[in-house]
Parts: sequence; structure tokens; C-alpha cells
Amino acid sequence: MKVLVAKLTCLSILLVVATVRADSREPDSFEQNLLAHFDRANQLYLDGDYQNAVSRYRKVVEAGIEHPDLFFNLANAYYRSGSIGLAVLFYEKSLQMDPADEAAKSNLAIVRKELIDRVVMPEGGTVGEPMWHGFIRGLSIGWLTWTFFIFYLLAFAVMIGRRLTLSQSLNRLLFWVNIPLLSLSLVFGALLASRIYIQEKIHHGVVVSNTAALREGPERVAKVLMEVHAGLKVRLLNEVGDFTRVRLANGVEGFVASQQVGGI
Amino acid sequence: MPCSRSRLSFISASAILGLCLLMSGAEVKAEDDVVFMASVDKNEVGLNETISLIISVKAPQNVSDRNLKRPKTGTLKISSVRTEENVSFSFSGGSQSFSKIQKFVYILSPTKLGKTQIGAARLKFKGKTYTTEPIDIEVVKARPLPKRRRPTRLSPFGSSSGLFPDDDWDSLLRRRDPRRRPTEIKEGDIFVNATATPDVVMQGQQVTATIRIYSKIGARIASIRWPKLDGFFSVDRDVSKVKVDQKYINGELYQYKVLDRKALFPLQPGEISLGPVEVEVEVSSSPFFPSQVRRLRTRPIKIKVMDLPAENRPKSFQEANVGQYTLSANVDDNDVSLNQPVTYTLKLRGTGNIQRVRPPELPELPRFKTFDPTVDVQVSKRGRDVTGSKVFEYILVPLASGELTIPALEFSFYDPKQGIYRTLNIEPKNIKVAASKDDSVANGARSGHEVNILAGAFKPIRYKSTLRGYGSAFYKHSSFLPILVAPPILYIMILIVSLLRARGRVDSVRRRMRRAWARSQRRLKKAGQLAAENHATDFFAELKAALMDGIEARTGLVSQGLTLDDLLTQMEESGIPNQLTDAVRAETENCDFGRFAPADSRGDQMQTSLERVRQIIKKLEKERLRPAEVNE
Repeated sequence: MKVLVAKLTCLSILLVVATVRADSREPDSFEQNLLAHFDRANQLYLDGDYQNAVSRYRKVVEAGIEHPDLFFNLANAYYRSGSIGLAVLFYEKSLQMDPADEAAKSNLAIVRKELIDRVVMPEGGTVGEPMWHGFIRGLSIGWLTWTFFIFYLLAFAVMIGRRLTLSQSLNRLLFWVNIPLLSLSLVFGALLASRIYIQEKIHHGVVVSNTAALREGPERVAKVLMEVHAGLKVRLLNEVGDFTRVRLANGVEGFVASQQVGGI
Repeated sequence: MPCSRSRLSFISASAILGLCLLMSGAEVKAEDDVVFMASVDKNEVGLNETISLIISVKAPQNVSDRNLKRPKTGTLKISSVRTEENVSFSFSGGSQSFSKIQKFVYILSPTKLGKTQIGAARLKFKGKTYTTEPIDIEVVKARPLPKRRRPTRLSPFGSSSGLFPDDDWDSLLRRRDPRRRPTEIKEGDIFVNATATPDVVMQGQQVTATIRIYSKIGARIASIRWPKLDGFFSVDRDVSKVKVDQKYINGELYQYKVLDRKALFPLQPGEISLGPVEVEVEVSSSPFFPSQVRRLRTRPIKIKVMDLPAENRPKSFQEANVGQYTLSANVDDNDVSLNQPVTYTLKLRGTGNIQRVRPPELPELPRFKTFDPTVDVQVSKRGRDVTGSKVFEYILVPLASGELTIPALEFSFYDPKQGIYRTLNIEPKNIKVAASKDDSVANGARSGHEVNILAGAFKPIRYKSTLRGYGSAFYKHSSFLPILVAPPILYIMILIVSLLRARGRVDSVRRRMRRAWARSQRRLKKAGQLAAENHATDFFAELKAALMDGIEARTGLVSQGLTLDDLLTQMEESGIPNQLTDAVRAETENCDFGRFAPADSRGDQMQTSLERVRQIIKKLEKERLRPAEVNE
């Protein structure tokens, strides 16, 4: 019996270690090449050549690298080169990966002051994203995952320990220890599940072209409801042909040409 | 009455012209003919209307009203009287003559329905008496008054009412008098002319098109119709202040006036034809005869438009920027606080197509919130050349503190007079922006120290980053699910194994008891055989072993390794009655005695002992204990 428990425990540990090792391996030549692009882009940015800095950063992004530092620098370069919509988009991407990034929050606030559109909320409250969505979205998915797993694994470890111990006093002690561990793992499990749900099911985007027509239907001849401008954050509902159905924070819905909106 | 004022101005102008001609020494001859006539504007009048009786005297000199005897008006009552004078000049064969026209206008109001008559008027002049014909008038019931028609166009001779205004005098002149034949108007007596200067221009350069009318006779302009001005951007010029002038053409003196003028800016190179301009005039050779309508046309004009030179064309040049311009820019406040708007004014002045000219656009200013500019265009209406100004006002709201700069601007235009491109530059404008009003730069200036604003800074890039540690989310990783389900599976497995282990322990006791029971039965059977064969030693040994197995089979207690006392104590502790334990003790001691003194044992005694052991085992069965109790 003890041998079996030891084997299962070892298997779990091996899985975690393998995951960690996958992230901590030495960079290969491909990664080194991308890092060189990133460093070169940084230098171009510092030299004031923002357009070329943008193209270098984009190469790294197109190679599949997703990192808040990369998105943050790219957003800065877009902002400096006058592309406010794309700057907002990449600040949002950076914050999605690291919601606690104060620098990205600060710069995004500065850029938002320059936006043209001001969404007017309807009388009697908001109809847009519920409050709890905002709260959940503000939690890092990585931090939630690891916090949940710590409490979850500890809770099960204590439960298994209780089964194996012969000492009545130790058994009783482990019982009381297990109650908060199980509660916390349940709470963090629920938060993690909500965060994954929002991540997977509720998509947002940013208007990236200077002006875009919000139309009644997914056709170019459809009546224009209003004109929206670069940097406006919208919720992406579904895609119909070349158009994307979007919803503004005040509940107004319409269709925008898909190429004029960037998904966060 | 505006018509009268304008007429008087014409009279005075004519008088001055006459005086000038007299002073110039030209031969002037007064006409001796006297024309004396009376007329009314209508022969039928409603009770609520008035009728105008005009008595005209054309004579070479002034006629005193004392020489005029006014006519009897019948049932018509004289409401008012006024007099008007006019001087006319005629040029014939190099000699000039003039005559004076005096009008006595009586406004009459009917007092009674029915027919009445205006009698004859008499004039005594140089010993002669002139008489007018009586006029019949019919007074009818009151009727709605017709609306007065307003004059449509200006006269070529500087009067807003024209030579033949729509008043009673004009109406009188228009009436056809069948008793008189109008004097013929020749084609050369009145004509229009169009000019375009210059007729060879660069694209976007101004061409001034002017329409002039030349006349020897009185005329009234009814309409001016320009052709389609395709290929031009046109700007109307005001010619209302241009005065009448005169000019000799082919030895004949004409009065002429600028009728209309347009500034035309060609939009594309090539040869553009400006079609004929149509002018409709009402003309009359004499104020005493009805007017005729004449349609006059100018000759078409060809304008050659050349393309702007490609050589030395600046990058900032826009196609519409042709002319002579100056450009200035200023900011209303250089020291402001964050979010306090400033006005950046860009002022373009000059000569050219000011409405189409495109000044430099303000580039995107990422550190300012900008609004669409307000544009004020002022274009002069008078003069040949189009001049004016175009002012752009941008509202800029600084979004960051520190020293912000509005970048330099460049404006290029083509100067057609010099034939070169010119470029004007606007210097960059610096604006000091304080983080708040309290931190205003003015405070710094007061203390004499430079203020270093440290607010609202834009966060710099992350210069050094490994770009690692943020792979795809762990929940997407293949090991996420195994790690998630491993703990509960492990726990469940441990739980199952524990249960199995507990069950296995119980089964082993029962199995042992079952085996002990079988063994006990076998031993009892063998003991019976030994008793029959009278082997006492073996019999009692087998009987004791059968008893011990019986105890184990029924109680689970193992006697092996235990003394008899210990075994009996455990039996008592397990709840076996003392009577039974005593029986077990007695029979065990009996078996030990029989084994060690076999000679004393007979066959019937062995059978009795065998039966007692069977009874003990049977009683033990009734006191059967649970295996768990035994185990625990």
C-alpha cells in the first residue's frame, strides 16, 4: 500500500517538474534570434525610429511569442508613431496577461485621454459588462492557477495523510487543518473556473482604424448607426462574413468591418 | 421716394455732363421744337385707386409753371402735384444739341362713379399757345390693388432705378401711342463687350472677365446671363460703385459702364472657351416713345491655361495654391496647465483663390487632444483681384505636462507674377504645460527658478526582458488535467485499498476458525476410534487437541503459546461464562491425567470423556463470538 501511494505521489511530482522544466529550458537558436530582434527593436525605439521598432516587435509577435513586456513595448512604439488604436490594443493584451502591470495601466490611461469616443451610459445604470466580470478579469490567470493548485494539492495530501496515520491525535489535527485548505481550494477553484470561462467565452477587441462605421447590418450598404474611432474597446459577439458584431459598453450593438477591429 | 431721388441724381449727372461739354467748347445747339402732351397711366380707375396725369413739356429752355394752365379734372380730385426735369443730349455729325423735359405730375383721386373727362391743358411759350387733347376717364367700383413690380436690373448709367423706372413716368413712356412712330434704333447704338485679362494664364491663376455695355441711347438692363463656367472656379466681383464713363468709338461718343465682372480661376490646363454672355436690355430712342427689348451678346473668348511647372515644385505644394500669400501662426498662451486648452491660429492672407487655397495641415499631435479647426474665410468683394484671408483656429488640449511643441509647418504656393514657387515656413511653437494650476510655470517665474514638472510621465519600454515565463496559460497545458485529477484518484485508491485491507483481515480469522472446526471434528472422530481400540494415551492427547481446536473454532482464541490459565482468562474476558471455562479447565486436566496414567483408564471412561468434550464444544458454539470482536 505504501509503495502504491509513493508511486502515485512521485508520478504527480514528475508531471509538475516536467512542466516547470519545459518553461525553464535553455533558449535555443530560434529564441535567441527573436531576442535579438526584440533587443534591436528596443534600440530603434530609443533612437526614435518608432516605425522600424514597430516592425521588429511585430516580427517577434508573429513568431508566436506572447509576453507582457513585448506587448507593452509594442504598444509604446505604436503610441509614439501615432497609432493610438493599436497602442490601446497591445496595452490591453499586456494587461490581460499581467493584470497587475502598473506601467501598462498608467500608459493606457494616458492614451485613453486622447481617444475621441466617449461612451455615454444609458440612464438608470450600465447595461454592459457586469461588475464581477471586471473583477475576475483583473486577476491573473497564472496566479489563480498556481494558488488554486497549492491549496488543492495540500488539501488532498492532508486527506491522504489522515487515511494513513495510526495516531488518533494526528488524525484529529489533520482534520482541522484540512477544513481551511479545502475551503480555499474551493474558492480559488471557482475563481479559476470563472476566469477561464471569461477568457474563453467573452472576447473583447479594440477599434484599430482611425474611423470605422458602426452599421446596422453586416453589409457595406447597411445604414450607419454611428462612427467610432481608434482605441474604442468593444465586446466581440460573433463574426458574420467580413463583419464582426460588436457591443459597446453602453449596450449599443452594431457591425464593424472585421479588419477595423483587433481582438485582445 | 427712391425713384425720384435716383432720377434727380441722373438729372444732376446729365447737367454736369452738359456743363462739361459746354466748357469744352463744343458746338452746342438748342433744339427749337416744343413738344407739349398730356397722358394718364390708365383710363379706367377704381374708386379706391389713384390716377396719374402727366403733362410733359420738351422745350429748349425752362418753362415757368405760370405759363402752364392746368386742365379741369371733372369728378377727379387733385391729391398731389410734383414736377421733374430732365436734360437730353444728342450728338449728330460732330455737333451736339440739348433739350429740356419738364414733367408736371398730378395724382388724381376719383370721387364719384361714372364717366368723366380731364380737360385740355394750355401752355404759352414764346408767344405760342400749345394745347393738349382732353382725356376720357371712367370711374368704376373699388377693386383690389395690383402689386407694384420692382425693377429687375440696374441701369447702365449709374441709377439704381434705371433710365426707365417702373413709376408712372416710365409707364407713360411705355404706352404705345398710335399717333406717333418710334424713331428707329440702329444696331450700333447699343452693344456689349466682354474681356478676359489675361487670356494666357497658369492653372489656378486669376482671369478677370468683365462685361461692359456701350450705348448712345437710354437703356434699362433686364438681365445678364453668363454661359456655363465649366472648368473655372468663379468669384463674383461687385461693380455697383463703378461709374458711367464715355468714350469715342469710330468717331461717335458712347456712354459705357461695367455691367458685371467675375474672377475666374481655371481648374485644369488647356484651352477653355468662355461662351457669349447674353444681356437683355430695354431701349428707347426717346423718353416719349415706348421701349423695345434687345438681346445683346458678347463674342466668345478663348483662354489658354498652362500647366504649372513641374520643375522646382516643392513637396508641400498643393494644386490650388496659386497666388501671392503670407502665412502667420500664433498661440494665445504659452504657459498653461494640464488640460487647459490653447488656441493655435494659422492665418493665411493674400491674393488668389482664397476659398480653395489649402494651408498646411497641423500634423497629428499625440500629446495634445485636438479638435477640428474653425475656418474663417474673408474675401474682398470689390476690385479686380480676389484678395482675402483664411484663418484656421485649432483648439489644443495638452495631455501631458512639460514643454510641448507644435511642430514647424511649411506652405508652398506658385506665384504667377514671378513665375516661381515660393515656400513659407512657420517656426515650431513651444508650450510650457504645468501639471496643475498650483504648479503653474508662473509660480516658477515668480521665484526665479526653473520648474521641473514631474507628473504624468509616460512609462518607458522594458529594455531588458527574457520574454519567458509567460507561455500559454497552464490550463491549456496537457499536464493540467492529470494534475487536477491525480489527487482525488490517489485518495480514492488509498480509500479502496484500506477497505480491502480491513475486509481481508476479517476473512483470515474466519478462515482460521473454519479450519479449526474441521480439525476439531476430525480429532473427535479419531478419538472415538482410539477409544474403541483402547489406546488411552493417544485417545486423551487427541481429545485435548480436539477441545483446543473447538475453542478456537468457536471463540477464535488460539491456545498455542498460551498457558491454560491465560487461555481461560482470555475466554472469560471474551464473555465466556465461568461455568463453561471451569468445564474446559476440568476436561483439560482430565485429558492430561489420562495421558500420563493410561493404565487407570478404561474404555467406558474414555467414551464419557469424549461425550463431555463434545458437549463443551456445543456449548461454546452457543456462546459464539463475532470475528471482529475477536480480532479487535
